[in-house]
Amino acid sequence: MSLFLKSHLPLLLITFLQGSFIFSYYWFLGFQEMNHLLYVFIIQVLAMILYLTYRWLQDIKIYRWLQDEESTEFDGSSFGKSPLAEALYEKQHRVSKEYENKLHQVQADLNDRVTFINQWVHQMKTPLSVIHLMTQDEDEEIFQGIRKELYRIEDGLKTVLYSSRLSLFEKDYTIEKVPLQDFINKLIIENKRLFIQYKVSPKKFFPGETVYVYSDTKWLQFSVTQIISNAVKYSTNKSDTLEFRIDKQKTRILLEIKDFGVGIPSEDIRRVFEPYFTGANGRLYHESTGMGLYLVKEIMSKLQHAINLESTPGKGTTFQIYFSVQ
Amino acid sequence: MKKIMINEDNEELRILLTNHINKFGYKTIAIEQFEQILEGFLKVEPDLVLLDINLPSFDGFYWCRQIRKHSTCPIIFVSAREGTMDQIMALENGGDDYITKPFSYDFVIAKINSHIRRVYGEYAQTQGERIINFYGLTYLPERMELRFGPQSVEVTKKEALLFEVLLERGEKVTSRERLMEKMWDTDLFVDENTLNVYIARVRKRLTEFGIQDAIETVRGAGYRMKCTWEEM
Repeated sequence: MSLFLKSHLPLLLITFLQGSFIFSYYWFLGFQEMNHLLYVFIIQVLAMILYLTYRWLQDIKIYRWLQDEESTEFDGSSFGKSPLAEALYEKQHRVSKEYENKLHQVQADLNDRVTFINQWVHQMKTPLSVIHLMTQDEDEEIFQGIRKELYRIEDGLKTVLYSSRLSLFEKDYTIEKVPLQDFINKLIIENKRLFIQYKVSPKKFFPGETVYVYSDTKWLQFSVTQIISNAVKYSTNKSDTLEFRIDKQKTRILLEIKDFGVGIPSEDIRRVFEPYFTGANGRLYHESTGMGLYLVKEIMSKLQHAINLESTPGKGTTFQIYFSVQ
Repeated sequence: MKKIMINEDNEELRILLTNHINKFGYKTIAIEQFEQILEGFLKVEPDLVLLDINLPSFDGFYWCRQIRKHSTCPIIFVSAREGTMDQIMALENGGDDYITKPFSYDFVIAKINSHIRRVYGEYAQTQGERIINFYGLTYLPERMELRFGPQSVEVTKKEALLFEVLLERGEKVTSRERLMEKMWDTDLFVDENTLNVYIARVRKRLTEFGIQDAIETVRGAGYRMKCTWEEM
């Protein structure tokens, strides 16, 4: 109502001025019969009220919609048939069509980009395979060096692949029943070169019975590998063990990865999940892209696993993933 | 001799694969006309097919379906695509197995052997007992037995792993990482110090045969076998 009144205030004012003018014109002309003048005045007011009521009833929905704080949806067809409503509807329709087209364009571009990156990463894998096979049997120092760099390229490509896939996560995951001990054992073997390179050994604290969690193997694998890779890097020269703990709790299952390395400075700890954040450790070890833990956080939240990170500088870092029991 | 047909459009990879598979007693036929894979297949009649997915003209899935119309021979896909969807597609189009790039020689050979064995059941004929020989010092992996001339000795599991790698590589340098990785594969999370202990044990084993200084330390790189005895 208030918007309606506000927008019609100038009209009311002008009508009032006009009335006053007519009144005083006739008054000073000598036509000073109060009841006639009052009659004209009342007719004018009545006409005004009628007009305003008519407009109000006609456009009530538009005003209500405009002033509704919650509703952002535009449904022009419910505004009635007044010229204003129709014009509004038409214009809005055109504008939203245009936005829709733009949105589609952006979505299509994004899809193209993901497809392109996927293809490109896969194309790069063939030359990598070739170098791998060519150097596989050679252990001279130079080949060991080449191999180390090769692994870095591979890890980099994997990060590219997964971060580009993340934007289309909804189309790219399948939740399965994963035997957690088995999964971790395999992952350790798969990452043996990392452990060996950084001189760290895994220590397992697993319950006797098999623990199952519901997750997507591919994404979980990528995430845990990121965590392991961080943990072993920051353990170098400080500690030679990395602890893996699985604990079946009442309402959830805990997977804990605990290192005894350099730890994360307290001023960095809140920011380690931000993209491109490398922090003091990253600058120290020169191997950080700042994407690893960010991706882990994003993936975990999409898979609906809770994560927790605790760290004491100089003592080590503990990473916890909680799976809900279904 | 079993025939293996290789369909890989990257030339280097094709040559490396061909050469390596040849060493294991297979006859390889590498296809270079990727529009005529089916014709090639029918002409060669291979016992096993390695098939890339990304090929010029038609993809691997297509050719797999074509081959399946004529034959039930094992088809192993080799591809850079690691998605579950691609693997499912490969199996649904008639593939028997799936290897993702980058892969190791050992892995490919293991897959080929296992399929050949399963389908043709000729494990004993093609393989025989594996013997690793280094100038008369021989190691038999299946028996975990080390032989030198008339003498033979049984070794422990850990020593066995080391002997297998060291003797197989012979005079080529073997890095400590390679030895450790080999042990990690069997769930033995060996660290640097433990490896030193095992190396010392392996050296001691050789002295039982009167062999001295056969395992040479190469600074910064690892170890190398050296023939310090009169070859028998």
